[in-house]
Amino acid sequence: MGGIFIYKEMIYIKKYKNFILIPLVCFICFVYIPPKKAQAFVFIPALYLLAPEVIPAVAEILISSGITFTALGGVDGIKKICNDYSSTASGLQYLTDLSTQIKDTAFNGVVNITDAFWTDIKGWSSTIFNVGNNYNITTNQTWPGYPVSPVKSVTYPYQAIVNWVGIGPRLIVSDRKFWKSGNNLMISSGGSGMMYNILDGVWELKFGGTSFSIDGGILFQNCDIYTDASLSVVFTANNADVAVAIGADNIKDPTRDWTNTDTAKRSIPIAKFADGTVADGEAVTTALNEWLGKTAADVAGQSVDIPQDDVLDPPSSVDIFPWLAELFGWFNGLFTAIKAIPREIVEAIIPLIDSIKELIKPKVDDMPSDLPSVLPNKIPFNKFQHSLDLINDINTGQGTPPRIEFDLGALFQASVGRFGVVSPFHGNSVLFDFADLNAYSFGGFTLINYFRGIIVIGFYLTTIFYCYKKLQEQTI
Amino acid sequence: MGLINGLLSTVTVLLSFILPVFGVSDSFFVSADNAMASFITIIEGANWFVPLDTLVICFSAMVIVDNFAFLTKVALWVAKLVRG
Repeated sequence: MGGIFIYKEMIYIKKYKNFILIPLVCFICFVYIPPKKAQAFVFIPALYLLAPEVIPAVAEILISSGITFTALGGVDGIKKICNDYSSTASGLQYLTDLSTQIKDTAFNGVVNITDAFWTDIKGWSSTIFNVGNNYNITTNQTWPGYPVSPVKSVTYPYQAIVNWVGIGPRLIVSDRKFWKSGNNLMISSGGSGMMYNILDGVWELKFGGTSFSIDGGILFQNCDIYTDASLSVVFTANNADVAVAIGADNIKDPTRDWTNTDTAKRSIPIAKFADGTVADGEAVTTALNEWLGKTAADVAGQSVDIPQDDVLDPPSSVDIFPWLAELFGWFNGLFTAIKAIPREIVEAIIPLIDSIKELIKPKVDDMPSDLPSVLPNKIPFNKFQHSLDLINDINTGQGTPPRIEFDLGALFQASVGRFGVVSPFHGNSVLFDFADLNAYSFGGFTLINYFRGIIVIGFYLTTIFYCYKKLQEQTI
Repeated sequence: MGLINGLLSTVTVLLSFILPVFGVSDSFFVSADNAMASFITIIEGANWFVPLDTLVICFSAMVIVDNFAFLTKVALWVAKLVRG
């Protein structure tokens, strides 16, 4: 039947279909699929769509929706991050400042990562991830190419420093265990290209060759949303500098944990650089490779003839989940397309997102959330809120009988009194109370119910005739 | 009524998003909102005489029939896009 009528206006809808469809689907999901699935469904494109300047808006959506953060047991760290995201003064700004400080301390392009630096970083991460010093982080680490097992449970102490050769040292600051366990996907962007790490739910500070970033995931009910503090900070430190300054004893190597054969602290051969001479990163990496090879050879009862490259390659999602790579390819295409939208349109979408937030809010008001909103309400969202409130509270049942009061004397006086006509009425008001009609009932039904019945029949008949006539006209 | 409410929310939010872009002033929204509110109040005041659910159903049916082609096209189009 849909093919019977074709409106000329459909051309325009076809023309702008993508522009119309995305918000439409989002709205429909929000309105008709109340659970959190829909929220997550919208947040995925929303998060990617948003340039950093819009992150506060997203953060407020997250906060206002009270999604699983609080539902899964109040996570201070996450709350804090959300607050920091929503306040551009901290969070991103802090990291930027920190990175600027780091950059300023660089000498000849080499950052000297001293113990004091690590102390600062640890102190800062403690404020973000408030999990306590005795916290152990256990994660299922996937390492393709390693011969023992593709997945191994590894436990890190709180704020362990893990050295990923070829990537750089990382500070393990927290994990997701304290609000939900499960497999989570981390997407890390560092160095010169995009790198996917399946590192199961570990928050980490990463110190790569040219970047300094914090990666984290926000967990939704059925999917993970990748968030990135999106720091593009000039941070020039190669592995040699980092390793020298950290001091060998502080470095905890994942391979050693993996094999779990040596619980004693072990010095890595970088120590020879501790005299302050700066070696190039390649030499350090080679030395580390040798050391890692020895460590792997210590595994009792197992053949560990591992090509070094395989061991040292960071895990890749392509190796583990081919379909995941396809999915990400699709997402990347989508988001690239979205990001190509002109800035004016993106700015116009911000109120739309604010509107989405307004739509979410009533659904999640009953969820426990003590997160304060830090964004000013720039835009009044629904300009028909008064009417909508009335509609929401409308009483479709049979209400109370109206009472209408007439003061015929006053009416008469107001109309013709100035002509000197004496009112035949004496100012007594007359009350029409429709409840009196309830006194008349026939066959168990009051008079007004017969009246309502007639109206219902009339309405339905009118509608049927109207529709019939309308269809007749159009089809002839 | 949940469906109706959802539809109305969607439409009004879209309107309040789109119309300001075309320069519609706030005073218009205030007037329109108040007019709608008055109308709703009047209708609600008559609920002792007129069953409002019937009223809404019949009006909705008429609106749908009036815009049947449009709605069908949109629905099919969305379904086709989702299906791929």
